[in-house]
Amino acid sequence: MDSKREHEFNACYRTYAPRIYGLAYRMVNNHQDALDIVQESFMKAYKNWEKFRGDAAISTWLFRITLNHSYDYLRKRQKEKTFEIKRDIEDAKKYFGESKIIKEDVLKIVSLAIEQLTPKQKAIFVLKTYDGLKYQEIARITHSRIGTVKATYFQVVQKLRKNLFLKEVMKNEL
Amino acid sequence: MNCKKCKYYMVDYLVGELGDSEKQEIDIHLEKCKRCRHNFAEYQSVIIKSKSIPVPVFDDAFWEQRLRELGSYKKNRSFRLLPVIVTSAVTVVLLFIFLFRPFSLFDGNKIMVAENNKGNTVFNTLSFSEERLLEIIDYIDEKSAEELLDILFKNNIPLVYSAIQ
Repeated sequence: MDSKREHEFNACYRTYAPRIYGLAYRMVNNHQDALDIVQESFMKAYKNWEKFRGDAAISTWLFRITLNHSYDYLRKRQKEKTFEIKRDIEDAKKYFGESKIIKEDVLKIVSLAIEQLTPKQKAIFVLKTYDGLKYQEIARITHSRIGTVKATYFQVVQKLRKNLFLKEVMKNEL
Repeated sequence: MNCKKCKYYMVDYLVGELGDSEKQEIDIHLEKCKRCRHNFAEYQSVIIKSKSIPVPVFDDAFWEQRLRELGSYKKNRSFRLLPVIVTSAVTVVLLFIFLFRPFSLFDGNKIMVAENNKGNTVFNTLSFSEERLLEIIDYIDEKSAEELLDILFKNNIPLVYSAIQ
């Protein structure tokens, strides 16, 4: 890769790596796995840099690669069944300290509910809620129809609401 | 705008996917409908609480280090290609040698005649008798025949002696 392209790639990494990490982390709920996904995704982007046609935003392309790697990790984890859903609390304590955690039980229930989503549902929920992308953009990234994205997001929010309010965790908060 | 439609669109409203006219319809309905107001508040709370799940945030130095690690990984991948390239190159060279053979490896059967000819003339081991050779020589001019015989006998070219009939 010539120096101009190398420079472009490095600039792209500096711009998007934190966002890609955020997406990967929310998908796999583990710091080291998320970091591995970031590196693998950018490595793939580097290998295919000349093939990127520019017909979509570079972020769309990167998100797509990241999601594919995240799906692979989730599939592998599903097979191994070694992952325990308590990382959210531990990671949150490690990186943010106790004071920044709003309510541990709420956090736990929301995390568990998100963890139970299918990879596709999780991807749509994460891209909408945390990255604030439009349905159209999410549809492009996930190779779905806009209607599917809308309906999926609505279903996920319904599910979370059911988990939080029917379990009376947040009833008194309203 | 009825409650069913409002319920469906209020999530889109909360995530900024509705146009102004639709948002206005929902606002008007929410003012009138207590139940939908309650649902709206629940959905809003869900989205806010979901967003409160933190993600580790790292500074620029952290990502610079990761970029450097990526750089060394890229170099290692190039280095690992070197044996493949070398092996391929050696294979191509060997194939060239065996296919085109610019020099002979079996000089025992071939005689390089350099003395009496201007160029290099290569003769295979002659598989015919001296008698036959003399017959062939009949068909060329005398001078060439003499030169040919000189070459052959001077270089001890092995001839197969058939029984003289």
